[in-house]
Amino acid sequence: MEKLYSVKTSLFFFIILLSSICIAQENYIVFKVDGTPILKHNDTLRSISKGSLLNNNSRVTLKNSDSFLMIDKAGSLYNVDKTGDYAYADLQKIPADVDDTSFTKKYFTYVWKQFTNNTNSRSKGGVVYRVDNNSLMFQPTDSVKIYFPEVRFVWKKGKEKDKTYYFILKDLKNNNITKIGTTDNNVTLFVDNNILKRDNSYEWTVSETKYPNLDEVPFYNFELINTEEFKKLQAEINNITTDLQKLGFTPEEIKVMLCEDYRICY
Amino acid sequence: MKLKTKLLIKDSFFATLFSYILIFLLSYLFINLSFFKPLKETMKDFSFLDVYYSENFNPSNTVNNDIIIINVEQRDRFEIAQLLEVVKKEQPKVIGLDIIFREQKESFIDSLLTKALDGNNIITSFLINNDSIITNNPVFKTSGKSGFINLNFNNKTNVIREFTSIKNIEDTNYNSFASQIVTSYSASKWEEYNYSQKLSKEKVIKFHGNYDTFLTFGFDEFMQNNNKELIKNKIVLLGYLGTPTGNINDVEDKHFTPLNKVTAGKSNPDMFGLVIHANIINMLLKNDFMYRVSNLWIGIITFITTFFSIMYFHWLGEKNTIRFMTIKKIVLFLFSVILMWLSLWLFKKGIILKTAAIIGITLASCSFISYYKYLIKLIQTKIKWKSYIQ
Repeated sequence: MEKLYSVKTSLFFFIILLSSICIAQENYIVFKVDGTPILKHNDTLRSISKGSLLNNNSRVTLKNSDSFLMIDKAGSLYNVDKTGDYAYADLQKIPADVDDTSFTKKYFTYVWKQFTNNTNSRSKGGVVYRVDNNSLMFQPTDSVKIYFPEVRFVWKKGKEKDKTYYFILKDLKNNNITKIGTTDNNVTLFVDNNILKRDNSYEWTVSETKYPNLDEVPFYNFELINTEEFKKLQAEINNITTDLQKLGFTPEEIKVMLCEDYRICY
Repeated sequence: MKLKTKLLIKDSFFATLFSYILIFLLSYLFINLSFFKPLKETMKDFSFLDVYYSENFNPSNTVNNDIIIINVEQRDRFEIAQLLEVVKKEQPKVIGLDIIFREQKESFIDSLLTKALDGNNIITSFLINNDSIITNNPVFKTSGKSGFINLNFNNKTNVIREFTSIKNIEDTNYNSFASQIVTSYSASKWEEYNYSQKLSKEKVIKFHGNYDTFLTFGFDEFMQNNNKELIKNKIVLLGYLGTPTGNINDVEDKHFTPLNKVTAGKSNPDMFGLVIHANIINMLLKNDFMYRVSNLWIGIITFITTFFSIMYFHWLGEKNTIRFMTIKKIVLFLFSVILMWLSLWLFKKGIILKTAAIIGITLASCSFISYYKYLIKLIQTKIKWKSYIQ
């Protein structure tokens, strides 16, 4: 009887412990992310995204200019913006964001602004801005045929050094999408029958936002041709090459011209 | 009480009444002259208390993580059906759809959508338009509840400050979208807070913030998210938040609210309808309401402030000296600034005290003091009239 009692008691405490662990989990939800902070969760690594759950098993790494906002169960906001590694215990030490400016100070600042006309200018410019991704993508250019064991994708980079760009590759055969985030301005992929396959067509783009609307983002198209198709094009390439050689262009310059103007890169 | 004090009180009282008569006559002209119509139209949507939101007097350092908003962007019915299936799989407590599928389109896709819409926890929406109802096509009939998505029925203003929970049309009561969501999410809270009674009249919305103060996801952002389980047992709202999410130039289903940075004059609408619903739901879940000071109390306060201001200025200056004029202007300025501070402070505490009438009438009354003095002197030439004014 006594044994049964002790088993019951142990079971009770075990359930309490288990439930407290379960409750302790999912302590924070990621609300906003800037950059690509890395989340290590039970030996798996992935970048933090909105909605990521941070609990006892989570470890977060922030590089330069990475930051994120997280919320607890009560809805309080916590700003994590300093570079470094954060264990869950470190995250718990971060104080909640509190707006401690006094109400009266805010009010009289507002009154002062009104009296000194120190308000935002409402001047308007009659202009439309055309900012599209075409200006971001450099190479490979649109609608090219590529016969090469690797493809180097290059795009324009802004002034912000640590800004993350999202390279998106769409396989037109099966509509698979590969997305790579990088702070660099290029990425090289190999024709290894894994991501890139011969005899297949692709579209690529670069976005400054993590989740762009793919229906609206412009894509560049390219085709990875096989040896047979390249041989078919060879006669045409030879003709152009001969003409260009006569004009004094080097073989390297001719390759660049063929790629840029005739849309055949090899 | 000294005779002089008695006379001061008597004069202040009569001066207050006199100024009210003049204000009434002037306001009558103001209302009826079409010359002032543009001014009236401008003032129609203005409330000084909007400054509370537009100038960020409200510290919104919290997020209600019980409400999750997903933007359906310009996605078609097939994609919305897919989204619904994915959301349902994660077992949220309530799914609210701020979308009306008015007509039938492709029958196959519509059948997928009908299937996706089926569920007791799915709240659909309808619109009350001049006592007629615009609702989903009958093919999308669901087992869940439905609520009206009209934000208010007040035609006097374009700014959404209040909401109606129950609307009676031809002896039938209809519940609002937000109310249906809250009852489905927590029937016990609905009972506990006695909302059936409390929400029988229009209520002022206590705004938590715009879309960026809620946990919002774009369509792809949600579909590609690895942490969809976070919506379990939560309220998920599906509707339009612009393309892309939060696009300031996208005005579809966007409305004027007190959060608009431009408090008077021409501006763009600032908040998507779905976010207004989210604010109402947030307010109902937290039982965090605003209480309005009645017009009777505003009248009493106005009378008191007018009476004492006139009394003070009678006591201060018997002649229109420079000193008197300067002090009068400073005192009235400080009175306006402090009263506006008080009204904003009370607003922060959840009490709506509209000070425009109090300030306006008090200032106008004080400007009529010299007319009253002239009138008294005129009377004194005709009859014997004891007055504080010499």
